[in-house]
Amino acid sequence: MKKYARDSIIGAVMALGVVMLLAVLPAGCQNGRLEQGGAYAPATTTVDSNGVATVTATAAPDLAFYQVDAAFDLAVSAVDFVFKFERENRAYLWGLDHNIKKTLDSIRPDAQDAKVKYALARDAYAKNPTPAGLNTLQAVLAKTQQIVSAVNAVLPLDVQAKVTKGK
Amino acid sequence: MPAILLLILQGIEATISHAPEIADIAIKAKDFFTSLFTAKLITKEQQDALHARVDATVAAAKAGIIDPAWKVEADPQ
Repeated sequence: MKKYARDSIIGAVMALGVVMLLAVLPAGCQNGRLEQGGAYAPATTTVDSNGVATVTATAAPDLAFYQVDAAFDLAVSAVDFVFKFERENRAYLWGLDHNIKKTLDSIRPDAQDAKVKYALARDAYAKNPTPAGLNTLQAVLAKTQQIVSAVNAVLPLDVQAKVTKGK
Repeated sequence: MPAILLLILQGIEATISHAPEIADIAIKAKDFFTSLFTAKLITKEQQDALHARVDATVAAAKAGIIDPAWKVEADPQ
């Protein structure tokens, strides 16, 4: 079984609580700013004969797309953490309660399916970025966030802390 | 920035330094949280790193590659 340093247990439990909360927050608040030239604010740089560089946007910055991708990335990480935690501590958790694995097993196919659906929606949006396409991405994200809530309900933080303390 | 948001960010920072096993998630949470609630600049490097990570996730999903932890495996004996 994987061992965690005692001092990191409290930090891990606290942080995972924050992450689980953030993983289900709606994306789309327009507060951040995207630096030009990044993947979500593409731009080209030209330099004239005097050495003066000019940065020109090649597409409008897409903060909403950044936030949806960031929320998806976070949700996948949160789900991945719980799936890996259960797998790495399977024998111990099975001894505690068979339903932990059984319930996560009922979620695993849906979680994988959500990744595939997000992939397809993201491809479609990248080819043709429209508000409707963004809505589709957000709808799939919402499903992924439901899965975050579901896995957290199966293996809540206090059980995770108990498992790590007991090692 | 409201005090509570600052506390949450500080909590995430503390976790990154004290709980390395989930530092990766905590860093992502901090970046996401910052983009939602502050006017901080999201750098080219941050954008490119996120885009590459999601690209990798969706490419694996489309190729049918499933992490063992995401598979339904036999129950322990």
